Amino acid sequence: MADTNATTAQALSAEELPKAQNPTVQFIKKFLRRKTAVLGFLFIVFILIMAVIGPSIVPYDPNAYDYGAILAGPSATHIWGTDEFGRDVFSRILAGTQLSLGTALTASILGTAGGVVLGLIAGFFGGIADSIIMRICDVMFAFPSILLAIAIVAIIGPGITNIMIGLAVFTVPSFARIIRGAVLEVRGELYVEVAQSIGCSPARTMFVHIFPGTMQALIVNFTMNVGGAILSASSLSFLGFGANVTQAEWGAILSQGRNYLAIAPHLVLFPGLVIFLTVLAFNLFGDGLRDTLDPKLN
Amino acid sequence: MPWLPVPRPSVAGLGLAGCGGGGDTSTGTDTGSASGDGGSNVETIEADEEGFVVRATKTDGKAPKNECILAFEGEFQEMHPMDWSDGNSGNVVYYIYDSLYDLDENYEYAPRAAASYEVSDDACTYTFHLNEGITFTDGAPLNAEAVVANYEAAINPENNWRRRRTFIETIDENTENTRVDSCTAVDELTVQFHLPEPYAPFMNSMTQFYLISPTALADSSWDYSKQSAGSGPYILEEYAQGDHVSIVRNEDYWGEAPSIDRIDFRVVPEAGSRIAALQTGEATAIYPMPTDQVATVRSAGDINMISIPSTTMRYVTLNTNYEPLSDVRVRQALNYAFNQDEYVNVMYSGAATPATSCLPELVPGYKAQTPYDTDIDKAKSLLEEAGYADGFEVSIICDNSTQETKGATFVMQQLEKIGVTVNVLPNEAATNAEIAAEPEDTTELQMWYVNWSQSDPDGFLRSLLSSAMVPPTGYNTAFWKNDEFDSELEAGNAAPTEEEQNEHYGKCQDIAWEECPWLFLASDNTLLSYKAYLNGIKYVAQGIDVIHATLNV
Repeated sequence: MADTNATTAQALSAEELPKAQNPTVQFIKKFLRRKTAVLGFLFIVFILIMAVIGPSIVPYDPNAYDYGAILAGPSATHIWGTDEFGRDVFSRILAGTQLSLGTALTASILGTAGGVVLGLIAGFFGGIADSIIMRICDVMFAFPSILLAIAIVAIIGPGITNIMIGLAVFTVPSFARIIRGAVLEVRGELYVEVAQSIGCSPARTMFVHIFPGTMQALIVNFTMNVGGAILSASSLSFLGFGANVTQAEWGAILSQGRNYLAIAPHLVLFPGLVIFLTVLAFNLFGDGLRDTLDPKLN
Repeated sequence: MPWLPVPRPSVAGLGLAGCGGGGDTSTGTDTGSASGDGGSNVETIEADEEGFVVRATKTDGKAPKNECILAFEGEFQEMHPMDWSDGNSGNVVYYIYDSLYDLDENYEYAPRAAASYEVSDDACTYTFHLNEGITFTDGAPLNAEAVVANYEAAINPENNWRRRRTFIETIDENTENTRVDSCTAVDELTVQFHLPEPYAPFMNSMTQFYLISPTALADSSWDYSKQSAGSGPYILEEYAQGDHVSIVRNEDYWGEAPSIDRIDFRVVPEAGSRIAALQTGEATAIYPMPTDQVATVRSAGDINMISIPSTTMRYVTLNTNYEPLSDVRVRQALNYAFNQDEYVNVMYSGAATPATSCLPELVPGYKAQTPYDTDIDKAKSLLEEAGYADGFEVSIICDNSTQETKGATFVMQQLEKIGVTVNVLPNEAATNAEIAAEPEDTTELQMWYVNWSQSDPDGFLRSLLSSAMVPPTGYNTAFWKNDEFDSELEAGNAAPTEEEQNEHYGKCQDIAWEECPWLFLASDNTLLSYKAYLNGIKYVAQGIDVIHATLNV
């Protein structure tokens, strides 16, 4: 059933296209034309693989200290140098990929899920439900997002799990708004009316018939959000709200390294570079997705 | 910064207990050579006989103005001469207010407002002879009456200033023990303190009994952070909490007039900014000097760096009520596992002394103990005897500053060697103070990476280890209760001669060392850097002293 409906949704957007091919093939073809987006995608894949196999391929135990090699610069033995306890920076960053990426992905997924449900309700039912949800979102928008996350973490206490919750909470309103907008667009469509007229329950109409129509906006924004979440998670860890100081996490590594900026810049350079490249990759990929999926640009 | 309030303030001024950031940003490296071989880049800090780590080569520099700017890492929290608790504030108060007696850089009693003193044979009466002609900045004379008025204000429970505890000992919520029966003016310039029984730390506490003008004492709304009311060499000009304190020379000072017009105490928490300020001349001296920037100072050429042993002790309290830590064998095992030499090198680039007692070496009455030389096998067998062959898990709290967090992480790494898993929990200093103030039956404290600084042995031992000082009363956060220790401490307190006193204090240290209420770490040096155009800077018990320093202008 779901398949049929999904096809209907795709068929609708395909209507605007001159020739109807397999939409997936068409999408891939168009996406591949955007070189930077492909590069971003490949880097994301690479990082994801590292997140999975990283902990088992590290050259050193990320927590193994060597007081005889403190703050050593990059060399053949320690390609990215060592930190204030003589721990291998490369191993710590590699091992930290899982935690950093995992935090950002989990937070984004949780936040998106929350945003989707609220957005669907607001957009579909309208009226009071819409007003309440959107006003709450407006209130949350009034806060700079990172500040909101800090406030949440300050209330529920520091730690990786709490960072995820904090980030998820501030992701919710932006997704709620995006999804609501997308819902408003498709709610008036004939197929939705048909679904309702044959007696589909509101829940079924929302999730089975309307939700697939919002997928495009969702995917693009989700991708962009992951990049932002990595940055926010790292920032929170940098500020000492996130990962435990002893954990290898990108933001935490950066934060500790900052104290040695003058004498051991590699402690800041490498984690900073990795965060920068990863966020950039997600943004480029997200941009590419949006451009590919945007009918106006085709 | 420090955890507040303290039973008695840190006599060694600057590095008050828990002075979280108490630090230097750690491990030093040689700037240029941080590359290549993968070997260590730690430059060990070594001071010559006079305490110099770096001697300026360019000494012809001139100060821009006849003003001294001291950049501190921590804040100046309070300007009240009888209610301050952090060492930095005490350092400023030292410039503005006179005490009867003082501690000099050798930790010996030196006259200040009083010219001399004598103690009766039964050690119960202290007579001070005041200097003639001292006036407070408001014109009121500093005479015996004024001292009595100060004493009365200090013990007044309504004021409840922190200095009250100099004279009144709190046993528990409802019981108080008076250490001084009365203070009387014998004549215009002679004042006597009568003690009910000998109390050895009395003279030490006099060095922090800062005298306030009776005018200010009579005015309960007097704001000491706006207007000072002392008789010292400097007068408060401006106090901006969290930023700076400025003091100007007291032109009517009764003693030898200071040469520097104005002193600015600034808060510069970032180690890098402090160093930069010193390089540019924006600061005249910085405290503390970050241990990893020695090369910067050396290459500057016009900066002196000194390393001075301090009365700061760094330790980890082990809650002796907490299951595995309640076993003395476990506590000893931790001490056997911990490598103090590595700690000194990794944390202080060598500018520290491994702890060889619960007191720092500089504190009078210190008695050297047999060190717990690192012995992993012995530590493991002790754990096994205690039934924790597979180790256990424990959490450690610490301030969330760089240096404190690093120290706690170091402890974690050391105890890992014997299978003890330590969870490092850095908190705001204020949060730690709350955790530490919880009474015995509700406390969640297991281990605390902390430090204490004081030049008085009684203050050290009593505040941190006597059973009367278990939180919330005091800072015995090991919740360690040892009757023998307590009675030795009391005996030391009441001993009429210093020799007998030290014998009792020595026994206290023997017991504490054997029983290990702490993981004994080290006593770190005070690192201070200053421009070569500043002459005569001293580091005394109350902190940095530039009262009689001069600037080449």
